[in-house]
Amino acid sequence: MNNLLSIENLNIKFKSKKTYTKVVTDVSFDIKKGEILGLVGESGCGKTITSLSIPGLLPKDAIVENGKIIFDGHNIMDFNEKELTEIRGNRISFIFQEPSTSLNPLMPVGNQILENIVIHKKISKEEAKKSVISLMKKVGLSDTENMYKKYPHELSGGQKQRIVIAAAVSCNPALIIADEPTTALDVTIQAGILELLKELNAEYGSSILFISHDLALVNQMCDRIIVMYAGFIIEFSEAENIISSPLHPYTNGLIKSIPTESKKGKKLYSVEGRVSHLRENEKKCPFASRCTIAQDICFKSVPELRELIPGHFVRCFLAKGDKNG
Amino acid sequence: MKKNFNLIFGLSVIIFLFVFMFISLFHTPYSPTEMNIRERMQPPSAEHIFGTDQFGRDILSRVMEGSQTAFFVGFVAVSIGLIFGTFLGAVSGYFGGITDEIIMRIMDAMLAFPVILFALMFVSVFGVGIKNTIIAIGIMSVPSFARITRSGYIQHKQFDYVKSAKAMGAGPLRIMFLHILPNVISPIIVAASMGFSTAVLSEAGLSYLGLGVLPPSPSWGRMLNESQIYISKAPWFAIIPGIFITLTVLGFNFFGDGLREYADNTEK
Amino acid sequence: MYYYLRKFIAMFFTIIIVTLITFFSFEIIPGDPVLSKLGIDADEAQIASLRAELGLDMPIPVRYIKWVGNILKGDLGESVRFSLPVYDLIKTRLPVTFSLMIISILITLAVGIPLGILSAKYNNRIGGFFINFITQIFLAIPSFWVGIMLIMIFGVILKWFSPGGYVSWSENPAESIKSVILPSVAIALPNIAIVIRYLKNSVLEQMKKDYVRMAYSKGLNSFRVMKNHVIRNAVIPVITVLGMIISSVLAGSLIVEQVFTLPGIGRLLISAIGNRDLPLVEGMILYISFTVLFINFIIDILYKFIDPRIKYD
Repeated sequence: MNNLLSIENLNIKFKSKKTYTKVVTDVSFDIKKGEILGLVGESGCGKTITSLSIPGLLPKDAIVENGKIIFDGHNIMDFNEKELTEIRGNRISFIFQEPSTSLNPLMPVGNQILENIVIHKKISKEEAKKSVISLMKKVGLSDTENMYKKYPHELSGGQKQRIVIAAAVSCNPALIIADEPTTALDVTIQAGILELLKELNAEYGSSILFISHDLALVNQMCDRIIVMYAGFIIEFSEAENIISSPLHPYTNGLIKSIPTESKKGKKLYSVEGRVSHLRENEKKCPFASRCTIAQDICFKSVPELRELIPGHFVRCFLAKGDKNG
Repeated sequence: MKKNFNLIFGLSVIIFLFVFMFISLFHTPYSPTEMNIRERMQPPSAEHIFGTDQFGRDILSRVMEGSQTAFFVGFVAVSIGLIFGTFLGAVSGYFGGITDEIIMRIMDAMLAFPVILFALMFVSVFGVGIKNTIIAIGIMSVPSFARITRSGYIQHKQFDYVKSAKAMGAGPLRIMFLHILPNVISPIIVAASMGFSTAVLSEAGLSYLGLGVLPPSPSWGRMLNESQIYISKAPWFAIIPGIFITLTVLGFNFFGDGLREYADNTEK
Repeated sequence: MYYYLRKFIAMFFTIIIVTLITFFSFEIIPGDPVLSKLGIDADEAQIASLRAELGLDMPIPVRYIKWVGNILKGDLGESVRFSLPVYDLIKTRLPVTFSLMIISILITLAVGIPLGILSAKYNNRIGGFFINFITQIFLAIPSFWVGIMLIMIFGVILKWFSPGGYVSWSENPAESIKSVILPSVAIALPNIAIVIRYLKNSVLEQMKKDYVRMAYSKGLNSFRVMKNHVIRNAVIPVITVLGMIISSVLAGSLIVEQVFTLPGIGRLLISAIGNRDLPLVEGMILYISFTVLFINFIIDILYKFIDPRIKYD
């Protein structure tokens, strides 16, 4: 068993006034020790909700219908709040999208890293403070003694995200969930943050669940990629398989819309329409209404996720084993 | 309207008090002013359900008549505030610039002041009485209307319907009061309800101090003033008018909150 | 820096408006004080000389400037009834009103802040309803009636002490506090409701913020998240309502002093109005207005000072 985390049949719905909206349907995947797993999809596809559910951080109006989240051999779903707080920030930590709002505006940034250490480790404040300083250096911040006492608004976006990362890795977690960690940052800063994440992955052996809407970025970072759509996993394989021979029409669309050198000057492809979730008990392919090749069957039942080619899963009736289905 | 407790509760209280007041216009159990020395400070009983005061007057009848004062003061003061405040706010929001700056600075200055302090100044210069009480409270309720109206106008003046009205040659007054006003009216009504509460509270306070409504007009605040000396002999005398003040303010506050909720929900 | 300058200019502008209103209300509208002093039989020459002596023959703008000049020198005029400078009269009454206000504000914050935070925590269907109802009642009860009810309960029924009267701090600190505690409670009640309602919304607002989710993701339990993160962020905005609370406390004490017969500013003002001692009323209105404005200005400054986000602007 080299699986750090296995999610089995996860189903999550939201209660809104009278109806339920299903945001995660039958999601199963695992993360191996030390791997970087990519989770791709448009906003609203359920990727963030899936990730929040791992250490029990779902918002109050979310309901987990069923499913198991096995982390290190234990089903986290059975954990009580106290057990969960022992895992959060310690074994599983988060890097959120928006560094400018992820930090408490009224707390010096050093203390926000320190806090993560002192609640999980029984060490003196001085020692903890020392390790904060060395963490800050590790994530590429300079003038750390000074920066420790600064407030978030005095730092740049990139610096803030490095603080968030320092807090996330402070207890040497087994799993880091990075939810769009560079989306809010300038392009020039993005590369540095991605490089840092890779370094930390290599150095500490922490697994990373890398969540992004940007397939190209995920391809750069990850060993394996999951593509999600409207709460469903629609494709899942090694990164190179996904990029070179996508099986699902949606993935195909995503790849076509990646800007590259050869497409320069041409209009970029985009998938028409918007994500719409299936209603409860609605039976059709979630992508059918936007799919250019949809046929009758696509509107009659929900396709299963099947292993079409060994190691390559897809949720589509029409996908065929040959190239570019 | 469904499940809007604030609105339903507020409206029920207001209707109850209004009916109470309306009846008093035609009939009160006893004369509110007739004194009866033999029946001084009678505790509540079948004849006098709220008891009698130091002159043997029926408290229920006096409270009923007092509700006329409360409604009258509230209604007129709010009308003053509403008319002037809405006008100033509309001008301020629609035209902006230096006009806006001057009007809003004055409104801010007024908002920083306790209503009661201004009212005290006003009656000390112009004399005590119901008329000046109403004017003073009315003036002090102008800023809250002006502010709310102004923010509505700032938002609405950039909408297409205003632009098209302008393009069709409608003058500023026409646009301000025929086109925009109906669209920003709901927060103004909410403010009116809240303003009513403030007016009732202020009038009660001033009359309690003896600087508001003068006898023989009955006023709940004045009744409380008179009751205080007899607090150990006739506690009901000090309790009843207070309950009515509280109930009135409560009704209009709940109604205002409920209206706001209702407006928010229908907008969505 | 720009912020302070703007606040200062706003205060300055307000002071001008206040002085103009006061000047016109008390110096122009009531008519010619000379006639009332000399009586209607006075001859022209006498009237003219007294008018010149009092500076009433000058044009209104000049009179206004002279009048403001006197105020700036600290001269708020002289009471007709007591024949004493207004400021001296205010000074003797100030400690009463001041201690009332301070204790009311302390009660407001000490009760309102914890209850506000708690009510955010218990903002479910039943709890939220209950909190809404109770705070609405607090807002609706006139403070002077609360005062009367407190006298009835503690003075008449329980006979814990005889209500009314003031004991100064230097005389007997314990008795002094005892003499202002009930009126302070009466004044504090609606303000407690304001703080609870405001803080409840503020906490609920903060709970939605990303940094709260981040704090949970670090492994903090909900108590720690509240204590280390939410409360400070939620309480700071309460400072913005503090100005409103202080002016409401002041208004409350003007009336409640009457209920408890406390010899403070409020009683002085009310009796001055009753006696038609207009110079005293004028001086007191000015004094109270300036104090309210100054406190509001200080609060604005304080707010930016406490919130580190603005310190470096």
